[in-house]
Amino acid sequence: MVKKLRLYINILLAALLLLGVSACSSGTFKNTNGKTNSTGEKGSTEPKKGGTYTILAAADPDMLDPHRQSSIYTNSLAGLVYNKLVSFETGPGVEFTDYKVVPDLAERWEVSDDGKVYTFYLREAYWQDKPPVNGRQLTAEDVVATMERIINLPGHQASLLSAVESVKATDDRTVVFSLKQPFAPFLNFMANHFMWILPKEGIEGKFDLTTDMIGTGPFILEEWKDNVQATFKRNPNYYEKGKPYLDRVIYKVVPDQSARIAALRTGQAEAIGQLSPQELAQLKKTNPDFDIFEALFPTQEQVYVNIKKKPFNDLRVRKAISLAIDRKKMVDNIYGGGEVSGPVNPSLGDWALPLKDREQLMPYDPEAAKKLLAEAGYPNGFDTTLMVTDGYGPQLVRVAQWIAEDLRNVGINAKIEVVEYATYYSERWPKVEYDMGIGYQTYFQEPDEWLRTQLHTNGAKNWYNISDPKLDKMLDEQRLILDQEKRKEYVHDIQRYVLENLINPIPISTYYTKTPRPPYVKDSYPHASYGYGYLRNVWFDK
Amino acid sequence: MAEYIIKRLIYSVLVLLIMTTFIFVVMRAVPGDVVTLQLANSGATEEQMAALKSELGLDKGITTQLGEWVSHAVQGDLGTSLWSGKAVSDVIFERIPVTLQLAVMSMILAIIIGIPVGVISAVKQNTLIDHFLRVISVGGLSIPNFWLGLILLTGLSLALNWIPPLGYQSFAENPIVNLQQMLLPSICLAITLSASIVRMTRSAVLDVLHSEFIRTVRSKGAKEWVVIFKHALRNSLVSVITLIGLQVGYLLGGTVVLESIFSLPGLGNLIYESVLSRDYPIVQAAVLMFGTMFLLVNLIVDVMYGWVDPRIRTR
Repeated sequence: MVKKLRLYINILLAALLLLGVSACSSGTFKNTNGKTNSTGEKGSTEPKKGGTYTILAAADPDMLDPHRQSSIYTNSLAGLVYNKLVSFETGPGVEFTDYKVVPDLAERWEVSDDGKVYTFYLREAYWQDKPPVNGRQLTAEDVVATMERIINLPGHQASLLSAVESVKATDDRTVVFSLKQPFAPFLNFMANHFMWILPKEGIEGKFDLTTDMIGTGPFILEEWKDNVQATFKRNPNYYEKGKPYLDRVIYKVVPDQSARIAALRTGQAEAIGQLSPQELAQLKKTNPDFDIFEALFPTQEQVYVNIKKKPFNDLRVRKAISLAIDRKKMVDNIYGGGEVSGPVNPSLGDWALPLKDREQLMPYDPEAAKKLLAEAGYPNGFDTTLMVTDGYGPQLVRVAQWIAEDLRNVGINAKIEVVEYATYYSERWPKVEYDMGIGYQTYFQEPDEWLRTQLHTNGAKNWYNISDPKLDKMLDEQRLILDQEKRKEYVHDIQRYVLENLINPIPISTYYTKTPRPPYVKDSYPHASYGYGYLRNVWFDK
Repeated sequence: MAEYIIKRLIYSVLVLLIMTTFIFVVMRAVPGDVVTLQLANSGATEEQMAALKSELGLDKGITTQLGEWVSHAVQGDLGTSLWSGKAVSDVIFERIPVTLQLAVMSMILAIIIGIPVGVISAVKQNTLIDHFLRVISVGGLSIPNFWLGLILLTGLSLALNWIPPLGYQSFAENPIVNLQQMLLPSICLAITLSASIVRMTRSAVLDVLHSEFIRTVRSKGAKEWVVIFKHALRNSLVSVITLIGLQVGYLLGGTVVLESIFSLPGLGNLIYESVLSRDYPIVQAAVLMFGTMFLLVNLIVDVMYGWVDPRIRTR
């Protein structure tokens, strides 16, 4: 279903539905009302127990097995029930763009000096009290079985573990990962939103992982009514004592955005995902007390070209396209605010180039664009097509129209071709059947994913015919740099190299998502990675 | 009559066969397939893609696939979803009641509104009431039902701070919640349908009222309501019933959008999603169900002709 698509569509991405493709996750980055959400002007600051938190989403997961699905819907729900070995830090004072790895099921870990052996020490945690697992203690065997399962199933998860040579339990609470070579992204990949730890019983088929979930997380799945709703209740044995505060979390499927907004207005929901600037303006009229949280979208629009085809094989032409686009004005007008993007999305914090550098490397200068086009032998521009899909919603099509207009100003006559989502995502884009295209990328969580996956000759999502031996070498090298600061510097160098010598895909903008929240919802600190696990901290002040 | 029905049933099976073959071929001709959709992002190798393809049976020739599908379908096996792995028949039968209830409720609503209004309009021909009712019904015909749905939802949330409860519950589970959830979409569908019933009833009743046998009935001194309901309306019903039969297609089409707006887990919603995700077996089965419903209703309509008009019965 669209779910699948957006799955729209997101299947892997943001899709979805497709149908509603665009997704519901976003982080607390900035509160435009100027309040922090942990303390309102009135009311208590001491968390209270109770309440039912209702989430409305465009689609239902196809199945609940998080290792067989990379969809945002499945993995968002997985965050309520499952934990990872390590996770990303969230909380008051933590920026939405921070990717600091913190303990989750592993209370601490050690890395060998050569960077090839990681030892994780598990905390005392218990599985939820549901048969056949029945609340037994988490053991290292569960972790080993989970990792072996991930490696053996096709999917993005397996590629995150490609550096792993072996996983062994040395005692009940200790797991040792041996890597083939030092691998800088390893810890981040272990915190990735696909790395949920499952109980051995599920992996052995003693209960059906596609229709049930039994984890160590803050909430227990009570009932899943396919395509209607999933109900979760508080886990009394959750390892953080006293949490969660909410009695229940209910996930309801409401495909239509207007229906979701109506439900939010009438108090039937706490969370409905992000709104467009127009929808937000309407909501503010009737519900001025709602908090609006802004966060950088975990991905960006990219204009990409078929680099083997004329005239796009000429670097000057690609640079001219980049110079012709007025990114700032576009993102303000269409999304109501955002930033000039970069090869690594700014939602990855300081792994991305500083904003100043991005603006400097990708300025708006139509005159310079015309000059470059003339140098490349196209003084009068050329005709081409710009492919886009409406599967992500209407805004991306508007962006395509804006860009086509900007390109026309420098003489490039780009005809817009709107392609249906599944055709776009499974045929035209991966098979490089286009001249130019524009789309969103997946919510990548690591600079290695943003860079190597897209730009390496063998990258899984190099759907642009890119092959640059020098860049390949740099992309391989950054994986081996274990000193985080040194790696960061090198990742910045790679991005500068990409913008100066390749500039394909051409980063456009990363907009600020705007998510409404009723004023009584406290201590909600979401993260750009999938998973509603942050609801363990949430309580109602009412 | 029995012979007639059997003949019609045989035709229906043929129509269904042609329809499913058509959908089968068209769905596979559309670019994009489920394997790439599922694995494109994963860095899966060509071999892994091919393995999944053969696991799902998508590597065989299209005629082989069609042959297998038909032979399984005849035995009642509609296959499994390419995405969730659930049995298609389970998925479909979970959803049929929602769509059926929606269609039946809208139909009943449309008839309750449409026929009396049409009769009034005909009887009061060219009066102010008639003009008023005709304007309203043209309006009803022109309003797109999804627009009406969105306006109703948004309007109710703003004006009354109320919308139907979310989270579908069947009539058996909770009749009160179920009716609240079903009423608005039924109204949206019924309004357009009742507008066409009004217009058809009006012109049919007018036709009959001007015919000679009505003059005979009147001259025999029958009361006006007997003239209108027993003679004029009854004789007009054949064309009204035909119209309703034909409108079932429209009704089922309308459920696709309205189920989505009102978050109802029905067949219409399902078919939309599965076309987008290229879940061939689900599309196939859902189309089959829609086709069967359409044909069944029209068969019932044919049988009803005989009931309202004895002359057809004996022919």
